[in-house]
Amino acid sequence: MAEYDTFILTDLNEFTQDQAQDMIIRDLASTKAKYCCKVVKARASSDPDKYGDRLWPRLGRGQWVGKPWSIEIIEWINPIPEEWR
Amino acid sequence: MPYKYYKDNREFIKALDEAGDLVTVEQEVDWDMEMGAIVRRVCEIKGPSPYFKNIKDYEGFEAFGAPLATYRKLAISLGLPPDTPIPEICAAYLERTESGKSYPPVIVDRADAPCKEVVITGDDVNLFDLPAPMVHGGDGGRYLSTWHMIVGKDPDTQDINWGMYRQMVFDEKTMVGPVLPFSDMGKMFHYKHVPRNEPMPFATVIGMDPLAGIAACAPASIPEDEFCGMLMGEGVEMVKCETSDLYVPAHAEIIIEGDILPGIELEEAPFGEYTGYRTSPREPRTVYRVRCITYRKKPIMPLSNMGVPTDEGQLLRSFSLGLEMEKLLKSQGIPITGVYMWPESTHHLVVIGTAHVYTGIAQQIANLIFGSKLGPWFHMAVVVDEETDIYNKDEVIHAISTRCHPIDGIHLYENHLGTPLNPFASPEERKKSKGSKVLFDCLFPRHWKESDKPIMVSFNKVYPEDVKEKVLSNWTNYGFKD
Repeated sequence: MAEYDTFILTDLNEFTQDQAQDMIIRDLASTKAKYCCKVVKARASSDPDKYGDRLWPRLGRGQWVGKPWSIEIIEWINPIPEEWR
Repeated sequence: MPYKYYKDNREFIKALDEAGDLVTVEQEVDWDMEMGAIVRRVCEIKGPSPYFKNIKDYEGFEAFGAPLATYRKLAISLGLPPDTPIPEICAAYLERTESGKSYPPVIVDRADAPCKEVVITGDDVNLFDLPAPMVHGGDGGRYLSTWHMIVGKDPDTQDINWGMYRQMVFDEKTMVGPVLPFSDMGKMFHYKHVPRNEPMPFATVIGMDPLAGIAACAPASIPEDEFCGMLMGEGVEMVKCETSDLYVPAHAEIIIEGDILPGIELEEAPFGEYTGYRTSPREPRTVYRVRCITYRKKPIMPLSNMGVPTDEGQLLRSFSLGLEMEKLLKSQGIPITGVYMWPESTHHLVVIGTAHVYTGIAQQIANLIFGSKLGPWFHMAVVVDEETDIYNKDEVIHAISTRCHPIDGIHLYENHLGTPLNPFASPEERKKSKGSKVLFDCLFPRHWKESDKPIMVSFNKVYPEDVKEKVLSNWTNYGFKD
């Protein structure tokens, strides 16, 4: 199971659960690249068992919410326009 | 004749060690918060700089924390004795930067530039090969650039800018960070490159010599590379970048080259900021695309840890903001006796001593400094008379508490520029970089009759000279320590 976190600005209720949407997540795998950000299209749920990977939500100033969610990554997105990669 | 200075980070580390202001940490430390926590504690106890020899996952790299977070280290960086009093450190800065002498950079060959010992370009570039620390718990990412400078060039005037703009590692080849529109680099990027849809070349210099760091922090009115030469008393040695026509200090530890991209923003922050809070939230910010990394063999990465006082951002920014204000006020003929910005105020509060030669002088001072390019970075001005020691907290607090009339002495300035990092500002004000400012006028009104003015009661003021001399000469005889 992969593990990620994401930042939701002020209120977890702002996030529409179970709907495919673009979001930025951080990879929490214990490697040299820990905290690498990824832009993805994904679905997420506050039910920790609904999708295959773990997602830890944080509020916009880094506040730790403390309860795990789950996430399904549908697509990895390169955010940099092709001409500037 | 150059002043005594240290050409690179390594000479400076040696000088700190000799002065007893360095601790060499041989034990392995984790880049994931442990290194940051050590540096944070060092800042809070004003301790010696830690020199980390062994970083988890990053064999061959070293790190150096809290490089300039005390006045002792600042004095050493300027080639002065470590215990030099603050006013003398200020005098040295003013003497060097007001001398009128110009020292343009000295360009060196690539072969003579240690920062080119290792060169990585193209697909091999990976920011995660550098030991970027997770500085604080709760940060939005790993901040590679905490004690560094970004080199940029105005596309029209060709003016060079060195500035400290924080950079978070986003992915292997991308960094993100705020570039505020009223900053020097912000003016180049947002008002020139963005409308033309042209990427702006940048070079991030990590682990430059300490005087280049001071120059990058200073709100100087001349290009910082020349300003750095003034502090050194000779031109700083520079070398051309691999991927652009920018020049960087040849003796720096790590150089990251690339382009700042127009028309795209990615999430950055939160971050433990110089105010001592995580104030600005995770938001879309400016994107740096990395093309090349060069570094010295066994590079030493500096780590500044912003938070509650005192870190080098607070100390150096306060130091140079205050002294640049002093230059500005003197240039306008204001009879000031000194300017000192308290680092403990996170460069938000400045104290100005002045002769009270005409009514309204405090407001004139406030209007000049709030309205200058220095204005967005602070919001409290305290104006005291020439007899108050601006470096003495007790005297300044006494002046504010006893001479500043709660109505007539406090002047509010609304709808000014502020920064999104001000903790006291409302979320709406932060979004708009809107700020308010306040002047504490601690001068007794000139129109008061001499007979109506309160008399200060202190050892120096209320005893005859012969009594004072007798007391001082007998001090140890009374049983007191000298």
